[in-house]
Amino acid sequence: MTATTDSAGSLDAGRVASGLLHLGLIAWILWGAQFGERPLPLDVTEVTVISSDQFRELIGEPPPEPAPPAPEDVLRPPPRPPAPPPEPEPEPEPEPEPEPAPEPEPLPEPEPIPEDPEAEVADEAQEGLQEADRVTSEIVEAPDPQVEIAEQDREEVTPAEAESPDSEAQAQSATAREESSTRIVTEAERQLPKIPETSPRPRARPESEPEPEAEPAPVPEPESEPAAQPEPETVAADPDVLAESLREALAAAPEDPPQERRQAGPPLTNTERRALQVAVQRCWNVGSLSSAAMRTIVVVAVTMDQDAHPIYDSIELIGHSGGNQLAVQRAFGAARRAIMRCGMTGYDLPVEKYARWRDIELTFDPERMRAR
Amino acid sequence: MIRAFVLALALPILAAGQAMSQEGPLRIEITEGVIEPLPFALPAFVAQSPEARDLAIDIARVVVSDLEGTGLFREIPQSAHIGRISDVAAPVEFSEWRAINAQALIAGAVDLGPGGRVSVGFRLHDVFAGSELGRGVRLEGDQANWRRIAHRAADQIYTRLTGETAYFDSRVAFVAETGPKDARRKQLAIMDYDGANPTALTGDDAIVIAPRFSPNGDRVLFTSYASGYPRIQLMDLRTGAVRVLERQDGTMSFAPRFSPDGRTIVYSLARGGNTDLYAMDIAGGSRRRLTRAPSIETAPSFSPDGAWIVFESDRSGRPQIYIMSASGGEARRISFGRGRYGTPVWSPRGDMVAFTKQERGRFHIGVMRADGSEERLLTASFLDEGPSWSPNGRVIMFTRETQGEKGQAALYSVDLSGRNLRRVATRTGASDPSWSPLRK
Repeated sequence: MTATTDSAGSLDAGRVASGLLHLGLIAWILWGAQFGERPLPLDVTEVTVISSDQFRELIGEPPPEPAPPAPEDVLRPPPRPPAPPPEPEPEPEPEPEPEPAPEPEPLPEPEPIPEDPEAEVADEAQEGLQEADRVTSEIVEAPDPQVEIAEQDREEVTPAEAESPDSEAQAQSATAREESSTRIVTEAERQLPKIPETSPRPRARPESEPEPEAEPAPVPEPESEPAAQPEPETVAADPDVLAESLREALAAAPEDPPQERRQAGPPLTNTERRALQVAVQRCWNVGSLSSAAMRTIVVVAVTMDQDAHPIYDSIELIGHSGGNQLAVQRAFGAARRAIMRCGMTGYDLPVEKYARWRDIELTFDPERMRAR
Repeated sequence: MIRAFVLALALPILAAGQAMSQEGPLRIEITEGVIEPLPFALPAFVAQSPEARDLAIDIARVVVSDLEGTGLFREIPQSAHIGRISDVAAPVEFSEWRAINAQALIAGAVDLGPGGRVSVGFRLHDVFAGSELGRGVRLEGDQANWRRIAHRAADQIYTRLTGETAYFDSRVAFVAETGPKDARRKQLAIMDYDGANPTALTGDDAIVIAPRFSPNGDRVLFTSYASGYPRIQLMDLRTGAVRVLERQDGTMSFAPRFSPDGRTIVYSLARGGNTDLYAMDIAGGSRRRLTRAPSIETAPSFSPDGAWIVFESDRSGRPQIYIMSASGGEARRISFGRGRYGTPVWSPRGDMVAFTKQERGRFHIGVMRADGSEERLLTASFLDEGPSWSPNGRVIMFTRETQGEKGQAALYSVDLSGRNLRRVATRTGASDPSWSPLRK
């Protein structure tokens, strides 16, 4: 019995302690905030909500023109008259796979009937004929119709300018390259939304390409100048014997005229090589080649004269891969025409490095052109 | 001893110098080129008799038209020529033709002999190579066939310049359309590939559609509504005789096409509301069912080796393109783009399939590889359909129809690359072209 009384007394004490703690908590919640940090004062500015028209009036700006309609997407059906409220975001189009349950596809929306259907046929046919006949590696805008078409752009030099004592140029008429695009554009592609896929900026001129650091400066080639080699100490004792030995060695050596090595000069820079590459590819017309010829790589050797003209008889096929014999012949024909046509006025090559470009091997690989 | 030592030292140095001088030629790789028509010169063909003067002009005109019509070649006008050709066999002064940037030179002569026998000889020169491209050619025929002679000359030139077979001496079977759209009369007709010499093969008392040339060009399959229902018929072009191939009561037969050997046809047969593909032996008339599906299977076309059939089916819910073995069996879908695909036709080269595609209210003629890859749409209009390949697989002819009550059907051609879209000149409205093989 006593034990029971003790136990009840300790329970009462626990309850009292719990009640006090709860009262303290409630008091802290009610008044505790009074002892916290007061918020920092804020700068308050009075504002008035005005419309955009009122704002324009305030700053004296004229009301804007009504917004132009969005460009019409010819591939999308025209908007339906009872337009639903605009949705904040376009819903993603359904994936083509898996196919939904068979449901009749809506018929094409009726389009305005042209007055003369024949006229439309003629127009669409004309669209096909308006394509640029020429496809090249860069976009060329249509030149002035008065300017003569040529493989290179050239500014006019009048006879008066040519006679100027400061001028080294000869009188010439202006020429411009023919209009071209970078790939074949089909009628279906032309009717897609007019979003430019690439910037039509012209490529940087080859001259502006940075010289690679690895390109060696024109330094003497010690290997080809045996006389300049440091002489070993062991042979310095008898210069007569050394000179005689060298003379004999040179006489016995295969033909390698040191004079020619000196004339060769340094190798062509990347810019010079690139200029030659660009010059040839401007005349490499693959438009009439068969599919088989377009899968054929040909390697063509050509010897140049000192004026950088190709020697026609020297042009020969020295290698090929892919394609049958007829395809190889046609691919070689196109390559030969490219070398000859654009070499008629001489390629732009450094005369002092003639030995470096006297013999050239050109590999014509049409793989990239197939993709156009 | 010293001498030997010096030699041992000097020779490697000389060898190194020699090696440097033998670095070889300058090597350049050309990977970018241009795609543009190749300019050629065709001086007036030499008339070898006064009677041949007009014919020489006409034949030269057809040759130029054929070559320029491909979009691959461009004639340099005669007013720009510096050189003249008065004798086809005389040496050519190539520098005169290089100066005007002519890359090919065609020198020809025409004679008109007794009995109206036409003789055309020509030589093709590679101007920049300074040599003749192949040997001289002489073609002869009746004066009535002067256009064919011209086409054959153009074929030879095309093949020599491109390295692939040509298509000028070929014909097109088509449906000639006259009358208003709601009462259109349709006749089976045939013409040269360029629209010349059109000839009606049937009257306009029954609607005919979808002519298909046999592989050797001697027969034409077509579908006639003479009985009130579509029925496949076969016409022998030499005799004009017509035979109805499919006579089963309660059926409709349509969309026929020859096998590459010309002995079998594959077609659609509709029975009881279901359409499946069948193959029929033309000589014996026995037929074999190729598909068993509740969907519509139609527009079958054989691969050039006869091993496969490409066809259209809506088994997936909307029309798509499928391939299966020529003996039937499991089909594999190859078209997966949006829209509806139809009328697939296998290229004579075997690598591509041309098709019609309807998407977002526009119709397109397109091509894809036989495995369904590299799909490319070549055209777009209110209604383009029914592609047909040229014999060399380079050009596709199709029907383009304008909208509205006064809309007309016309034939168009487009290069496989999508270039050179042209309308084919026809005297009436025209649809459903089928390009023949090269004529023998």
